[in-house]
Amino acid sequence: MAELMPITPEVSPVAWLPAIAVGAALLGALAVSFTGSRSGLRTALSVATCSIVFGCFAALYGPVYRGVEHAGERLIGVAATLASLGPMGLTFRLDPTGLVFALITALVWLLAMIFGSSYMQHEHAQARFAAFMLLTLAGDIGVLIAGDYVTLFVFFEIMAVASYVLVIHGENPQSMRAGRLYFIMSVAGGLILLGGIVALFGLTGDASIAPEGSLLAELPRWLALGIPLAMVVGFATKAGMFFLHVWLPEAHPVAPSPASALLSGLMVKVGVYGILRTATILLIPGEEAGGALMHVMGLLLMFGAVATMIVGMVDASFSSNTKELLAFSTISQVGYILLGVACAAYLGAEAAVALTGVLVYVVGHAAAKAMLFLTIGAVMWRTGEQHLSRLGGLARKMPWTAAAAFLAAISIIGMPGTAGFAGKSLVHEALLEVIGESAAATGGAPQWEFLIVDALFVGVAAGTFAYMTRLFVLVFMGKLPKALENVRPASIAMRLSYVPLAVVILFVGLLPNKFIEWFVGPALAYYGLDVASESYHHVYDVASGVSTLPILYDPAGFSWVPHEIVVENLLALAGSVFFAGTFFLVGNKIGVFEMPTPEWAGFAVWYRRAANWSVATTTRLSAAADRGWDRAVWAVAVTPWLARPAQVVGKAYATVEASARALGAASGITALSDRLIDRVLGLALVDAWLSEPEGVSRGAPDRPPLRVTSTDTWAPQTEYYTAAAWRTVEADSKVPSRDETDSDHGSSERT
Amino acid sequence: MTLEYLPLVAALAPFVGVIVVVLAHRVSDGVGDFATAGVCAVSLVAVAALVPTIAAGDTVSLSLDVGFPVPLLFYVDALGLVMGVLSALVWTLASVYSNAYMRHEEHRMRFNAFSLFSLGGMMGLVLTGNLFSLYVFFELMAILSYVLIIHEESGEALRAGLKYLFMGIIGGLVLLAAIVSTYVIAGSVDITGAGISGLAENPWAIAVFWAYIFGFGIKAGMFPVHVWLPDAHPIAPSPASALLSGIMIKAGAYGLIRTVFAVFGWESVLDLGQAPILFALAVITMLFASSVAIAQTEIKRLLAYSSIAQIGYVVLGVSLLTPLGLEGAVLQIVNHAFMKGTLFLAAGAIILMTGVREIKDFGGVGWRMPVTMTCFTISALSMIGFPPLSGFVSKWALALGSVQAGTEGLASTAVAAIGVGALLLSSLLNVVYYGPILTKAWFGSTDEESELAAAETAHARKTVARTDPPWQMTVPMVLLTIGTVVLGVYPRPVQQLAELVVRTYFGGT
Repeated sequence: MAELMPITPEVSPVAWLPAIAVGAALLGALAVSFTGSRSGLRTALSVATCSIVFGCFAALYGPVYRGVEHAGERLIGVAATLASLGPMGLTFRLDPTGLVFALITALVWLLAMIFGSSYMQHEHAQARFAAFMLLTLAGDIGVLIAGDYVTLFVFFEIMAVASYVLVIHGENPQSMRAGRLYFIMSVAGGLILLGGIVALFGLTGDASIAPEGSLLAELPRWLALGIPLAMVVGFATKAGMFFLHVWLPEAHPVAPSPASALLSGLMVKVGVYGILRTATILLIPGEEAGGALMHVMGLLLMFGAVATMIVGMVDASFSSNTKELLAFSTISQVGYILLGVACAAYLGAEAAVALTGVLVYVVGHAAAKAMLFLTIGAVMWRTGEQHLSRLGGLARKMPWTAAAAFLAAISIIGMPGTAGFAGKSLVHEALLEVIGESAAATGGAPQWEFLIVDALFVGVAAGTFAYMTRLFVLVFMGKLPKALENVRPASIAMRLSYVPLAVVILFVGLLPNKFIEWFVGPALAYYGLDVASESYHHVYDVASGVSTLPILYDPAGFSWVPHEIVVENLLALAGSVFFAGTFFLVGNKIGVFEMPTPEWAGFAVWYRRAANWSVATTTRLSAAADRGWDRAVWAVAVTPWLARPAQVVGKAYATVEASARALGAASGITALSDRLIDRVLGLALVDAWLSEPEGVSRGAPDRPPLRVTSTDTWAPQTEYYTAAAWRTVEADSKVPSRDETDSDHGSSERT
Repeated sequence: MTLEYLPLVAALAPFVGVIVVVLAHRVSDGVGDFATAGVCAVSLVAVAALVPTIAAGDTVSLSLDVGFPVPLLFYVDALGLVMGVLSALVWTLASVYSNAYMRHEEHRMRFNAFSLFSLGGMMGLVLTGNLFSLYVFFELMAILSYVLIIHEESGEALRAGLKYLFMGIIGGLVLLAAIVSTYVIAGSVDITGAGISGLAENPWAIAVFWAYIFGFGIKAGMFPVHVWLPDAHPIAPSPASALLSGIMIKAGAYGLIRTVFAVFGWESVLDLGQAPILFALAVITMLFASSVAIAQTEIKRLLAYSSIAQIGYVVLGVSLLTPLGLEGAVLQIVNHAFMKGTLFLAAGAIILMTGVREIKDFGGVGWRMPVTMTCFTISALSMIGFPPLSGFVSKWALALGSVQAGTEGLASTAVAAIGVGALLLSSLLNVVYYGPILTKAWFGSTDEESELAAAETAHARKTVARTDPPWQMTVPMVLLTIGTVVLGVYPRPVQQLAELVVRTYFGGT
């Protein structure tokens, strides 16, 4: 694919612009974090940073979509490498697909910053918020401009960490709880992604995101499917795909509204972007092995996408909190986008319509969902309310906000003339192609699974209509509650931030073919599409650069009778509107939407329980095992060494003591027996022979009796006459006794 | 050629420097601390001066016959150089740190003197070229660092010290037996090559191998002989903890690398069939120690368990017997020294300034000590393995090494899958135990607290007094943190040194 060679820094320094954008965002984040309480400076710095980022990408429009002539070749897209940074070097590569994402990202970020400058006025830690907004921006666009999966992962993780701080900004129990779930799931998803990337790079030696060759073709089948699947799971966590979505409805609503707009409008798209890249570029369409794998991947993704659509729609219908409803709506809408990605993967080389649908839907949803979060944020900012039952009638108080919210809501619903309609039409068209393909493959009837998907597509669209109507009506229409009578309109900065978003929604909606010609068509060339296929020519003709696909109207020639494809889509829409309208009216009458949902119905509670239980159990068991092992080692390695000297000394001491006692006892007995013998002998041998003179008593006369002197503090002493004699002899020369040294007073009495 | 004497200078400077330090302490304890740092810096300069030579692919050696059966052989190759520079650098910074940290402690001269003795042992053991010299310095370090552990002389410290001492002595004796056996069997104790010939063929080779692993494993804190570490590391004064956990356990890791690659040679180890067991021990070390760390409530004990887990990474890299695995192990040694050094120094600063040791009391520490906690946060994130910090660089290399082990080295798909899986799971466990510390310190509020309390915290932040420690403590932390960031963003120089190590043992370019 020589025609897809990118512009390198050697050709033109413009190739550095994506890296400069990321660098600007990083520097901006650093600068903003030092602004302290100078809010004017902070706003100026952060808006300027976002403008620079947007400017960089706007300036790249020419090089990326039109390309430049160099040495007789047309170079399209830009690529640059910073080989010495990071473990593998950072490579940047921006192709038209990346630029679609990057442009809408930079634009919405700029608007959210402007909106935030007044929204955050009375919040705490504003510098932190602004700095982490910019850090998150750096991570987000870094993912979009990454030229290989390692670089992508670096920025993916920066975004995950930085956005955590945005989620928990309120620092109240709910946000900390939601933030914890978000962080753990982000990291876990990131690690699964990393596992896939490591395996990809380790086994193939190449992790570049470019349609350059069959990376997976030589691997065994389980790896060839397992690696992209692991990566898809990692990205799907960020995208909020079903069963990995539980963090989203908690994290998005608790963040401050500008951050919610970015989380819901853009950051889930990073996940979508990753899935798109993995499912349609890593797996090579057309090649036999890759093509078959894409088929499998497409089916798996389709299942996930449909489940995501339904779960998001159902939860949104029963939600009574404005921001939570929008978060659920995001899940459902991401389901639609993933359905497009799934169709693209399934169709492989003929995925032109599906890919177009994905890109149009991404841009449309980013603008509309960001607008909804900003308008609902403005309502919250003015009223302090986010519960549907306490809002109402605000269209009179906040007309501009209401108008903006209206436009965004009908775009999410998919009304003709909005970006949502274009996106839904295209994705639906792709689904019809899948049905046709499956029919052609079997040579008979289309697979029934796809027909069910088609039915669910329309059914969820109906549900979308119902919950969006409910949101808009309950917030902006009806009776104004008494408490809200003094509500003032949104600030100028806020109203300003709506305008570009409305322009995007209307431009994509009213001139979808122009949007495709300007932004989407060149991107399709990167997906190894079958240029000869009919759908490709319809969507975008490479030679002429014209899109002739009828979306809202038939670009081939204006006619009051719409093209049959458009009619088909409009009819489907009309049907869904009818059913949903009925559903909404009836449901609202009997209050079915106000039903409290029990906690066990949410997935999050089970996830938390499972995580807590497994961590607690593992931890407890490990800690107990460690303690036990510690004791055992102590007993084996230390105790013998300790025990021996102590025991030896102890035993020796005891022996000495015992023998001393024995000696003492023995000497006592000896002394006694000595005297006994003395007496006996004295009686027997001496006294018996003596006559008894007058006045002389019998018995040994000279020796004093054995006596025990008990002194006050010392241990009882046995005193023999010899000792007493010694004491009397030595009495004068002896050292002062204890009594004398102890006390200076009263010593005289004692002596 | 004077260059040859540099490793001798690097290893002996700390021993000789003790005299200077003792004299300096006569002036004042503060002067003594800086004299210690100065001596460490001399060692650092001496070994750092060898960087150009070694980076060019040369080695430096100096043989001294001092009457031992085998001459003392000073020898510097890429691995020794990396270890030497790292040790002297972290030692210098920790010595500066202790100038403020130890201000209220007693026996500061003793602490500094034994710190220098330990540095001398450490420098000596990484800068030698045969096992006898290595053993001499290894034992010097192991025994003399005991004094650092029991510095506070509390009952707890003495108990921990006893365990350290006895396990160290047992390990040392087993190591000595291994070295003597090596000498008897192979007639050589040279570790400058890629395997001593004639050793692995001996029927006793397996026993000798495990004797080495046991001896070095005890010092490294490897499962299941890690039990001394969680007691000894936290109880030492924080600068000593940083050195014990950041550097001294790496003596064991270094020994393991030399055992596998220089004593036996990796192909012989592969033939002996013992590497899978070593691999299994590494995986258990990583996951088990991380799990236990989650249960810890005291910050320094948690960090000690984290050290065990991180040593598991090194052993994992060694046991894979692949070039990238070895590169990852070397990178992990370097990166972990910076990260864990910072974490222990920061934890010490927090304990000193706020008296908080229990993680549950960490609320608001970030706002009271922003510089300290920023260093702590960056290092903890690096520990978890977030790019673009240095932890990611080593984790990435180790993961690639594991994948490589699917076809080379251990050559088993199961090893590759388990290796990558264990690295990822261990990172997740890291989040589970580092996460709460960070959120507590910066964001304060918990589930139990009311919103009112959270608002109060937010308000209190504006008025709270900043109590970052004095510069002697902040500067080392900040420098080490900068190191963590730089090694993550621009890891090329260290990667090149690690590749030199790989080239020594695996050949090729």
